[in-house]
Amino acid sequence: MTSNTMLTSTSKGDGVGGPGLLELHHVSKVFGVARSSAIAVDDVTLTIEPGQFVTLLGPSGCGKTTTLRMIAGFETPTSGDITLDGVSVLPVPPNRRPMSMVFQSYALFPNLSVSDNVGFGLKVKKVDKAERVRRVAQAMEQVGIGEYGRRYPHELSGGQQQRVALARALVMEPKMLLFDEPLSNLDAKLRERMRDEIKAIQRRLGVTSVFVTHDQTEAMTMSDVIVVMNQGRVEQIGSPRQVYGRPETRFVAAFLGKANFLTGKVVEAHGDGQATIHCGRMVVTVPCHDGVRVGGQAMVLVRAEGVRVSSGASDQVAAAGLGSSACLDGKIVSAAFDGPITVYRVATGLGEFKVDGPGARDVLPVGAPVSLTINQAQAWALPGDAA
Amino acid sequence: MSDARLTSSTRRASGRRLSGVTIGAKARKDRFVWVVLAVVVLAIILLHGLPVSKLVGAGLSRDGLAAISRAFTSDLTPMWNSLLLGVLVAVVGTLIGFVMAYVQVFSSVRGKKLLHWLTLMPMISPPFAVATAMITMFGRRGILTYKLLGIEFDIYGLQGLVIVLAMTFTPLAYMNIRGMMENMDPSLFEAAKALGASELYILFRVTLPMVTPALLASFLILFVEGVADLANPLVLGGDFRVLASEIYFAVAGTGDVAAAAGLALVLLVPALGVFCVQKYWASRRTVVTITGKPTGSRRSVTDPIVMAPLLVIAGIWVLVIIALYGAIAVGGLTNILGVDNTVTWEHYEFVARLGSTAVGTTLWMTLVAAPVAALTAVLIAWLVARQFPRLGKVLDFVGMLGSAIPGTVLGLGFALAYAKPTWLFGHPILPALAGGVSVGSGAVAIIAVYVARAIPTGQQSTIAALSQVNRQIEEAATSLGAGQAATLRKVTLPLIAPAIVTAIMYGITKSMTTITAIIFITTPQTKVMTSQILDEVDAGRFGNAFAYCTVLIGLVLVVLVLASAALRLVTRHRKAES
Repeated sequence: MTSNTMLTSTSKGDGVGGPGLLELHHVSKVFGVARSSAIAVDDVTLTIEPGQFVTLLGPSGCGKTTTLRMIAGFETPTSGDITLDGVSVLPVPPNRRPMSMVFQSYALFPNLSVSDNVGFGLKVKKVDKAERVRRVAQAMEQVGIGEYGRRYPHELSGGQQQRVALARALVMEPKMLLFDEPLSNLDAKLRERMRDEIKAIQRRLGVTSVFVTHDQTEAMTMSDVIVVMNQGRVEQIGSPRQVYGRPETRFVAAFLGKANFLTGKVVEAHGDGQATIHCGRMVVTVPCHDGVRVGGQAMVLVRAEGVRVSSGASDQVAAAGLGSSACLDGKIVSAAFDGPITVYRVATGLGEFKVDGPGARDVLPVGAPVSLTINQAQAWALPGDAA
Repeated sequence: MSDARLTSSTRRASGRRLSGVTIGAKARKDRFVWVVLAVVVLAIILLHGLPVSKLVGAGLSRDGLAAISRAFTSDLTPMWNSLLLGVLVAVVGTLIGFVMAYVQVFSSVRGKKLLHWLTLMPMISPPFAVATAMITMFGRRGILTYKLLGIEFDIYGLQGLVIVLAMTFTPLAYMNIRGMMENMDPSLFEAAKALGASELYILFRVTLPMVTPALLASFLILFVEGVADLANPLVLGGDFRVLASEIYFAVAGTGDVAAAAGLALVLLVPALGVFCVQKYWASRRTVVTITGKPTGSRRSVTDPIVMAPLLVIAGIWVLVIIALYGAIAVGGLTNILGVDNTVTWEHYEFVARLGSTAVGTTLWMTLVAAPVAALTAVLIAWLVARQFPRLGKVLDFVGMLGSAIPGTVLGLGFALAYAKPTWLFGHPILPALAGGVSVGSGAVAIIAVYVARAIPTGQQSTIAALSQVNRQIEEAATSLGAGQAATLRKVTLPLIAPAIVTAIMYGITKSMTTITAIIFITTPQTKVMTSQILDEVDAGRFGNAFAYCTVLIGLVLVVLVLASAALRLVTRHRKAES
């Protein structure tokens, strides 16, 4: 059986055939024509391994949803190719691609009951009734809405509606699950729970998943691989740890977490991937990107949690035996208590710093002189010209 | 959900905002889409294209051109009169429509529901009902004007026509303006109030500017209707000559079809002009305030400075309506209302004896036409709103053009186009459809006219409904394996079912009460109620006419009640969605 006939004959994939390896080759999408055209997706190349949970992460307008919609078949790439198990899916209309999408608005059919919603795709596929009933029940059980079959969507809460949408996608046993910001309409608590549940179900079924979000926490907690996108381009592809701790561009560094940047001159490169950098009066030795060259400029990323704030000037702290060269004096500009942490803004000679202080301790008053100690092992240096 | 809606309403403003949602065409189209497109294009050609082009052909013949040049030179009166009538009807109708809408939306008077139905009443009654009742109640020997007040009011001519036409078409303005008022975000008024504005100030600086598009749209619609109306000038015109009646007399009096076609072209020009202005204007100004969630509930206006005068006007208007429909109801049961008020069943016996076939024929033709029109409208709307974002604009324009063609003009076009078999490349493709000797004795052509007249409104309401349906729902169906035909049938249609029912309701109402468009193609074999009524009015047998009208109004009401029951049925589970 060639993969091509496989695609059409098993249409909504019964899990047979290829394992679900998705590749995007130089995919671009331009909307509009001539003067009013805009590039939504710009030369994206990407490989999604079978069983992986991949997140497209980026600010709104970065092309992540358009990319997902091209995978689903709702948009056609202006150029480039998308292949599933090595075969182009571009000639395949969206309803014949072995993928199911979960939408931001849930997109439940308001005129159908929950079980009819879940059974919709099977009915279209003309799966016989007994089989359909069994699979619908199983899918609903899987997402924990077993008892709501006879209700209508408007009689459910947002979280339950989202579960119906998930069950409706799962029941098709697709090769790929596509998620278009499915959690952004839920409140914070529920979002956290659904996050864990989706991840658990995905892991259990081993279905390849592409998840679009602008929420970095969702991306970090759920993904095997994060694709950070900006202005239609891929900024970085990597594991959550890599994109957070070892970002390749300033954009990625700034988009994830709370970032402080120091610029300085590279004075020495050590063999172990570390470099010593002069930032004003401060000297740091930190892990660095391959592109960092001795004598060149470097940009040092210091996360808000990679800085320790202590009251008093640094010489006092140094005298207390805590100091190192990576110390900086400053003054508290603002302080906001946020439970486990206190978020400070600290004015220093090298600009303003965002610093996470412990929440358990008393909040330092605004205007208090403090010293900042940078945890050099957690910092990361990029070449100074990194965009 | 609100996001998607926002995008569609602000698409013009933010054409470059591409991030989130659903701009741009679908990837590939099923064959189904092309079949639908072909069917729709064929329907438009047969229903509008062919009749209008035949009419243009006849109008540009030598006799036609002579009639046109006469209308612009030696005999300017009909054209001038038509324009004057159109403007006056538009002004009066729009003003009253605004008042009724404002009272309906913002007042807290009791019996608003009743007020609503009374305001809409003229829409569901046949064209002569109001005119005839008007003569009886307010005419030279009118019960109210002469018998009660002693005034000898001359109802025939411009003044009478303006009142009757304004009354007939006010419901259109009312619905338009009320729709827009109800869509206004209540928090706007709360904001204005919080900033210290008085009710009067809010009326003029918030409400009026916001509904200006609806006011303008009503003005244009009423102008076209006023210019095109034939029935009322026939009954009430006296020696006030308008283009529409000139066309009728050219055909009915002298049989000069070419001259009639020429005059019809003259009538077509302002109608199409107005249509284009409206389209252009509507495209430049995005419709205000379409939001997801309502941000509060509307509080009624209580300030007497604003409400009192409006309530008075509304009250007078409703009283006039009650008087007129009272006259119709009573008139059918009395010998000669106002002259000999003895109660009699004579008129209803007449209707039962001679009119029962007309009632039956009207009913079945209407019941065939309305669903066909609704289906065509839905398919056009689907192509426009879902399948062809660019070509769709053209399709939408052409489809709506049907609403701009005056009934008189379209009717004449049908008579010209389908009285003989239609030929294409030397082959007869259609037999004669209009006239007594045609297939179905003219019923086919009449049904076709009904369909043609009902499509534009249905199209408009279904496009509006489609733009309210979250596209992700349809994409979800696609994602679950449904093709475009299946998605349309299983998801889209159920979601816009209310709009479809409304379109059918409108089609039935419009068809049952239309006369202008079918006056040239009615045949002795195919009796239509409205033309029967015209005969009775013409012969001065008002009692019979009143009885007919009452029966017709009753029928329309029954249909409407049934349809709203159907509407409730289809919207059972729809509380959450839009």
